This record gives sequence, C-alpha cells and structure tokens, in this order.
Amino acid sequence: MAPTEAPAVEMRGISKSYPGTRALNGVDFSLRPGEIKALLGENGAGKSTLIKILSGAEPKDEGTIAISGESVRIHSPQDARRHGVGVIYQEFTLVPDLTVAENIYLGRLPGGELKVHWKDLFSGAEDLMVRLQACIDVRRPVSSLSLADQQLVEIAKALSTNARILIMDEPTAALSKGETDILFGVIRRLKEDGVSIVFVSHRLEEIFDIADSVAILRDGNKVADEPITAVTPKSLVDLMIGRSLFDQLYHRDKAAGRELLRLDRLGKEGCLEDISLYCRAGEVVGITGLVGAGQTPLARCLFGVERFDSGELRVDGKSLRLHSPVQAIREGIGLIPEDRRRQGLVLGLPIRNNLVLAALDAVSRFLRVDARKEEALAAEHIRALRIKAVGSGQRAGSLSGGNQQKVVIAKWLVNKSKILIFHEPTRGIDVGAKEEIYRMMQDLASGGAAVLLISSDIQEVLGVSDRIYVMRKGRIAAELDARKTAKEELLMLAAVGAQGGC
Amino acid sequence: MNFNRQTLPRFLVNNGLFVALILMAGYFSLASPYFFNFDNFRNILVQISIMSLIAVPMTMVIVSGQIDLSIGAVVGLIGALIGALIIKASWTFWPAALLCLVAGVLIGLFNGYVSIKLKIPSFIVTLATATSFGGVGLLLTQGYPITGFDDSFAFWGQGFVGHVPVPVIFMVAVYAAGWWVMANTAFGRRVYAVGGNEEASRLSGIQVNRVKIAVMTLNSLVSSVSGILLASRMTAGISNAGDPYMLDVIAAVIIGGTNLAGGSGTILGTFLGVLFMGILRNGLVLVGVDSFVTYIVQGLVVLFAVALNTFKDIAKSGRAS
Repeated sequence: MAPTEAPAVEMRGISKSYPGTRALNGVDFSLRPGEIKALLGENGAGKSTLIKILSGAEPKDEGTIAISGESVRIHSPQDARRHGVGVIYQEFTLVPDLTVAENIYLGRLPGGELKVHWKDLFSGAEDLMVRLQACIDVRRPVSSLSLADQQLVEIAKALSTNARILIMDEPTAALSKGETDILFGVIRRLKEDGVSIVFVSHRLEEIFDIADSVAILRDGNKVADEPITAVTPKSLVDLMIGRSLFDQLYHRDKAAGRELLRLDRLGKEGCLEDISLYCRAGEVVGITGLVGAGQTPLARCLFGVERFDSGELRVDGKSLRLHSPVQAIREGIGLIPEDRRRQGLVLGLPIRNNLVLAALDAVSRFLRVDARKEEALAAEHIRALRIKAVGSGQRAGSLSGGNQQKVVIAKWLVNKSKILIFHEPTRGIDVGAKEEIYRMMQDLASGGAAVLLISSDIQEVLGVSDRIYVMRKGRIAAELDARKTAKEELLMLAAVGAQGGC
Repeated sequence: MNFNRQTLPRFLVNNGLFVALILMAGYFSLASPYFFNFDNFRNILVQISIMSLIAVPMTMVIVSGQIDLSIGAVVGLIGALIGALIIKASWTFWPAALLCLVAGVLIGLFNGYVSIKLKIPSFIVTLATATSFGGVGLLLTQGYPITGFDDSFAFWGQGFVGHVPVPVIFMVAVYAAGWWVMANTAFGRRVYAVGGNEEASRLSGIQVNRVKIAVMTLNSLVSSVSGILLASRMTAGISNAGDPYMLDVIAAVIIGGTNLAGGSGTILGTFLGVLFMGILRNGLVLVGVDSFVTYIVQGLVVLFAVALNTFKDIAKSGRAS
C-alpha cells in the first residue's frame, strides 16, 4: 500500500447532535483501499451514528466526506451506493420468500418494466457467488438458507452494486464459530480485491483475528486509531471505557437487609441456563454482559412477561411462578424497561396519567379516579425527581429522554414497589440525567428497596452496583464484589470470554 | 394539553369541528327558512339519536386501538330477533328485550375473544362475523320484515316524555354515561392507555385483553339497544335495517377527532361529529340539494376529517421527537 494512494474513505470533523445528546464530536475517520478497520466503542459511543452518516441513513451536522480522494455529498442510501458504499446491517434486509438472486438484485432486476431477464439475473448472481467462493443455489428462496448463508447473500447484494467500501455492523453476532471462519475467509478475499471494510464487533478476539487497524470511539470522540499490532486487548478495553463519568463512585455505606429476590437455577429454553442470583433490600446488584447474552429474557422472566421453564424464583422468601406483569406488580416488582418509548410510556398521554398507570386502583374511589389525589401525587413526584416539565399535564412524548425515564421510574415509586429492575436505564440519555438516575437508584436502595441494574454499559454497572453478575451466552459467567475485586477490564473480559488478555 | 377536562376555548383551538358546525348551521339558517326552528332541531336529534348511541362505545373501541365493523349487522339481527320473539313466539316485551341484550353481550364477547385468542385484528374478525350475523338475521326473518307490533312497543322508538322523544332521552343518557366513563374512571384511563401503547400498558399491569374485550362487549350491547329502538321506530323487524349504521357511526367518530390508530378521542368530540353529520344531512335536504348528492358531500367530509387528523398527528410527532 503506497502512502501516496488516496484513502478509500476520508471523513473529517464529523459532528452530529440529537436532541439532548451530542452523538459525534468532530470525528475523523479514514480507511485505505483494502484495509479492514475495526470500529469499537461502548453502546452510545457513536459507532452507529458514524456508520449511518457514511451510509446515508442519517444526515451529518458538520464535516466532510471524501471517497477515493474526491469530495462527495451523501444525503441518502442511494447516494452512498452510487459512491460505492455498501452496508450490511445487523438485522437482515432480505425478503424471505424471494430467491437469492432476486434478493441480490432487488429493485434493480435486469429487464424491462414488464419482463425480467431471468437468465441474466441468475448468471449475475452466480458470478457473485463464485467471487465469494460460496456455494449457494441462487434459485432457492432466502428463507431456506442458514443465517450464515443469508449473511453471504447480504454481502453479495452489497457487492452487486460495485461496492468498494463495505460496512459490517456486528456481522458475527448471530454466527457460530465455524460460520464466522467462513465469513472471515470471504472478508479476506474481498480485501485482496481491494475492497475496504469497516468491521464493527464487540468480540475482541475476532478483531485481532481479522482487522488491520482499530478505531475507538468514546462519548462521541475518537480516542484512538492504531494499527492492530500496536494494541492489546487490555489497552483496547481501557480506551473504550475511559474514566469520565465514574471518577466519583456512587457507592454508599452498605446496610443490606432481607433477601428480597432469589433465583435458583433458573432456566428458559434457548436463552437462559442455570441462572442463580440474589438481591437483598438495600443493595444495588448489577447484571452485565454483551448485548444478547440473555439480559432481556432475564428481565422479562423476572417481571412475568415471559415464563421460565425450570428453576425457582423467590420473592421475599416466597416461591412464585410468575405468569403476568399484573402478578409481578402485586408482589412489589417494578420494571424500568429497556425501550422506554415503546415499553415504558404512553407517549400521547400526560405525565400524570403515566405516573398512576400502575396504581390506577389505588388512586380510584369506587370507579372514579380521584383527580385531586392524582394531581397531588404527580406534583410530588415531579418535584422529588426534578422532572423538567411545564406541568403534570404535559404529554410524556414531548419530554426529553432523561425526563421520560424519570416518569417511568416515578410510576413505580407511586406504586411503592420494593424490587426495582432497571433495564438499560440510561440508554440514549445525556450525562446530567444519567447522574441523577444513578443517585435515584442509590436512594431507592438506601430506602430499603432491592435494586437490580441490568445493563451492558459496564462502566455504569461498576460505578453503581454493590455486587455484579456477568452474563455470557445465557449463563452467569462470574460474580464479583464491585468494591473489592472487580476491575473494569476483568468485567469486560469475563463478558467477552477472551483468555489471557491481562 | 389538558386532556381530561377540555375547556371551551381550548376545544376551539384544538378542534375546528365546533367552529365548522356553527358556520354550517349559520349558513343553513340563512339559506332555508325551515332550518332554524325548534321542530327542525328536534327532528335532527331524532334522526341521529338511534344511530348515535353506538358512536359512544365505538369511540371507546377505536380509542382502544380496535374497530368493530359488525354493529350494522348486530342492529339488524337484534331487530329481527325481537320481532321473532314478540311476533312469532309471542313473548312479552321485557323478557324479549332482555334476551336481546344478552345476545348483544355474547356477540361482543365473541368478537373480542376471537380477536385476542386467535390474534386476528378486530377489523377482520368483525368483517367476517358481520356477514354471519346478517345471515342469522335473514334466517330469523326469512328475508321479510316482521310486522304486527302493538302500540306499546312503538313507544320506545316513537314516543315522547313531555316534549322529548324517547330515543333522544336514550341518546342523552348514553352520551352522559360515556363521557363520565372516559373522562373520570380508571376504566376510561385504561382504554386510553391500551390504545396509546399496548406494550407499555401491559408492562404497567393493565390487563390489556380484558380492556379490549370489555369495550367490544359494550359496543355490541349498545348496538342491541339501538337495534330494539330502531325496530320500535319502524314497528318492524328488518334484518338489514342497520346496514347504513356501520359507516355512519365510524364516520361520526372520526369526524369527532378520534384517532383511527387508537390512543386519543373524546366523547364530546364524537357528539359534535354526530351532530355535524345530522345537521349536514338535514340542511342539505332543506336547501334543496339532491339527496344523492348529499352522499357525495358526506364522503368528502369524512375524507377531509381524516386528512385533518393525520395532519395533526404528523405535526404532533414532529414536535415530540
């Protein structure tokens, strides 16, 4: 690779803000022809925003993009495709009932308006498969393929538009080890053809296996851009975590009381295995792991949304088979769900209606909602949690993310829940509101609640929890005392499952 | 936005319907000497009363994120049923009426339960059951109107209490009850919550399925009341007499500002929607517009109302994001 050669991609000073957060802050990102660059960062670090800007899915606020030395404007996915940028998303975009070939050329089928040139279609698709050295029958419907083969079809689809730059967003997330190896073979051949690849993954060993270089984002800034030979797993983890928000820890003097929640060898077909853990009154217990390690099914089982198949759940010493959220709420459990807009709030309703949603019977006399009681409760919680709103009548949908989350939390305070499950509580929330939410969790624990923090943000789990469980592939991989043994690196490595990194 | 108790000025701002209603009434008053008088207003109320009952529970059904296309068939079926019971089987009024109401409840439970258990949208379920209910009505009447009711039966649809027609009394009662339920009760809150965000409601401990079945049941129950009143008004049990109601009721609810996607809508809005339809129809006839043309106008009005609501939604979500 001659140093004079123009970079395949050169992004300079890219900035992007969403209401309440600055997702990218003057980020430079470049890629040489034939380079495989890993893009790393924690959730919310700005990886997806950067990818979306390069692929035309989101407009940038500031900055320039040049492709092969030529300045370009990318305003839509079509623009990106024209400039040779192809994206392979985590979720596939294939139409299951169409054939492989039709999917590859979807929207660009050879032929006229009325007639498809099937021969050209299939031969074009077959050529691509030969190039990928994949043996997939292009006449089969996509629904009959394995996940790995579908991934290859996605790649073929990107290549069919003559993509010279491929963005792969966690392409191995759903693949087995063997399938990953096949995919990596394909990636290496593409590299030899001079295709440049942006590779997003959480799995560190894969990055050392495939990438030439690695760029790391943290809180919207690029904090490193190094050849792979210049880094170690430990230095990568250090760079990803940083030490901004948690210089000051949130631990209290622990006065743990009664055991309010205990799971004994809990299992659920296909996603949870042998989960044993406990949480006492006055404790904040963190549960962390990579995205998809089983946190979501665990949270849903604990709240009765889904049922577990085996094992035992005890709430305040009482063995329960939870079969509905109604029952969980009656037992004093509250869930702050991972997607507050979709699962936590009725966005079209005012704050006060959302606040009493789980306690409607308690604020009603006979059939009638006691409007005065409701208003008093709303005013009290808006003040106590410092929810920034015009009044209790403001629509929940028009609040900022942090204030929306406070409303969700307040819903369980109104209900006087004593076991609180926070599932990714600070996702997409700005730093100030994050800090307030951490304080709330501490105060709740101090007030005698059992607080469970399920989060893939390792830094936050460490900063807030008293004890930590690390999940990997549906199991508890480690249990750590936050203040004695746990270091961020240890936690991260336990979650990733890498060996000998430190 | 104050959601539960809408003050009048706010209502004007939020809802051009009220203004449109006044303007339209003003125009008809000037254009026709017969429009602006007590008898005509009472006439309008009588014309809309029986249909408008159903618009109340239908508002709840649509707010909850569902729809019920079977109400027209239920109205006809109940008319046929009460005819069959009283005329053919010689039952007295009260037992027959009671059985009709029970039938209404069962029909609603069936619609709601099937939709939830088989996970079929209520749109499809009620589209299908409407056909079957229509068939039952035809079986009961054999395709002919059942006639021969006595005068005491006619009281419910044609009688007066003082100067007030009986169906209008029903209308006032149902609207008052519906308004109270939706604005003040825990049940009303749950209906809004379920339609606004079903998943969040479930995770807040609301028994979503119960709420959805309850509003469907209420809808069929009120439809059967409406069916009895209509049979009484016509002094005949006619199995397809309710057919125009399906579109009229849904149109009134939509004109009244209820969001077809669920989550918002008020009984007061629906009442204005019903009035709007009634006045439009009545006024157009009085100013001499061809009655066929009134259908065209009505259709356009519905289209306009939906477009307006959609526009408001877009404006709202634009602000929210």
